[in-house]
Amino acid sequence: MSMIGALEVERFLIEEASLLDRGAYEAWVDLFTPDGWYWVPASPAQSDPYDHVSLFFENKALMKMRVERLRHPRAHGIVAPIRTSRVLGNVLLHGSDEGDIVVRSRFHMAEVQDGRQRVFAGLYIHRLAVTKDGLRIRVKRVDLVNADSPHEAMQVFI
Amino acid sequence: MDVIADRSLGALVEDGRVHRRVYTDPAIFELEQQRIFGRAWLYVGHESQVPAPGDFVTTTLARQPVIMVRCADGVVRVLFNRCAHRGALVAAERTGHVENFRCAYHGWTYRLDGALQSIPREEDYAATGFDRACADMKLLPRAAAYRGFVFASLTADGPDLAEFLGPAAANLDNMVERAPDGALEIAGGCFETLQRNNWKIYLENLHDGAHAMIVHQSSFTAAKNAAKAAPDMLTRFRAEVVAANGQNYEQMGALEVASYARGHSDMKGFRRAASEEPPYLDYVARLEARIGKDEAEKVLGTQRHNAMFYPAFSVHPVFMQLRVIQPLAPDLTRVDIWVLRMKGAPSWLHRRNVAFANTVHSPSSIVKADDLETYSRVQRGVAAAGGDWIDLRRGAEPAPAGNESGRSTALSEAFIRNQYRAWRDYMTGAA
Repeated sequence: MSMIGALEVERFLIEEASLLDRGAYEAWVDLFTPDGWYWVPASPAQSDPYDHVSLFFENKALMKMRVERLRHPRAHGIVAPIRTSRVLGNVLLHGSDEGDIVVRSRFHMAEVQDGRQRVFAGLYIHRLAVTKDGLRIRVKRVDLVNADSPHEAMQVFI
Repeated sequence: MDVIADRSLGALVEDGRVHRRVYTDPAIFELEQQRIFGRAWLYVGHESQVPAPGDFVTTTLARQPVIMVRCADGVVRVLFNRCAHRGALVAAERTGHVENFRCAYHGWTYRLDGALQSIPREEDYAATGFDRACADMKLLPRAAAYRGFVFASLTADGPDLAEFLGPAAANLDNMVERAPDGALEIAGGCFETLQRNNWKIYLENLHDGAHAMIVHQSSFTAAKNAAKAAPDMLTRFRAEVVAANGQNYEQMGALEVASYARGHSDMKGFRRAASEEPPYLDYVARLEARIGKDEAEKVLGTQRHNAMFYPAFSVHPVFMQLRVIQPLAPDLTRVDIWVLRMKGAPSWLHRRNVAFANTVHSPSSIVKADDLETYSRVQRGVAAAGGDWIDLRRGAEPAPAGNESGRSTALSEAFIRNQYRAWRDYMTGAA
């Protein structure tokens, strides 16, 4: 673990964001550990994904289900393709948790569909496992600054 | 705004079809706000959100800001959220607790029931004709609770709440009766969602069993695979909830839909709610301990899917969900999704209901994504002038028009025809 430097972690986050921006959702899901979770709380500072609703709360099986739907020819909601662009920064290694690396970063993401653009921004908290295959995501938590605002459909991962 | 005669309004709705203008015309939207939302009983909130005197929540009814507050006498009242002085919003928080309401502009204070308490430098009003007795925050003309569900109406006349709810109230009864302690509470947050469509388009999908295998093909196909590979109970539940939309016409045609007076309706459930998991069996045992085995069987055997209280409130009795509908514009609708927790039930039940909401009603739901797309396509499509009428005759009985029995199936558009009978009655003053 001491061999993993801040630059390597930042590079991993950039590549992860790039997979999403390129729509390489299968490869993105593969970045998660078998017990990995993706979580976007519905309230600021929400501590609990079980007793409180979440915008996304998906394990690997549910992430794969989402991707399979996105690839279906009759996924009507994405007949107009979704394009995204993320910038992330302010990357800070926040410590370690049972051998995993906890890293925080700030992001802005523009999403365009059918001529309509919206912006998401917030905090990424990654808990990264150090494996023989390199870094893998145990948990990706996304705290949106507008988590509790009214939302239209969110079809792709943030 | 165009003035629309009642007669021409009524002519927009026939038995079995409606004119596309009902979805697009801003003048009609304005009249709906006055004549439907301004007169029906609208759901405001749940009493559990304001357990103690001074607790309040704010919301919007027919585009007007209101406060639901528990008063000193323990009664929950609904006030217009407006200072009697210069009209400022008095409570700006979504929820809170106060001793009294104090306007942020000039510091006027009001008791919890809206009665004027104090005005800074009130002597400035001496001999001005100002009437202190007319300077209260105003109560809504009517407010009432039904088993913890608080409703209000912007008009003083019309049916009382029980009469308004009619037989559909059985769905609210069923929700309360499902709780081992016989009580419910709002818990676990809220989804505030936006739809780019007229509010009626959403209501018209609530018992539409004929759309599921078409609209949701992408998600139920993925979910059937996910259910097979699910690593745990909750994942399997979430996948099965999505996969349930893959039922065929025969199965949907066997689901009973009941239509009631004033546009209300409900539909038999099509997702399995019972479980062999120990926490579920524990839940059933707790319910039986309170109401007995036979009664518990009856309560749990009453499986309703969506129940609709026209025009602005829907519940899912089995999965303890509330949907509050706010039209914002002819082509924009807000729907807030809440989850109720059954008091006395194992936490597993609430977690499962939260998982249901996450799966089907989160903005990220892979089910809802295709519903929202479809609603928006209807909204965009009805802008086209090629044929002005929207057909709603699916499953119509050959009986004389307007004389439907109220019993139909999820393959019939009878519940929509019933909604439009209510629409016409409200809009032309017959309701």
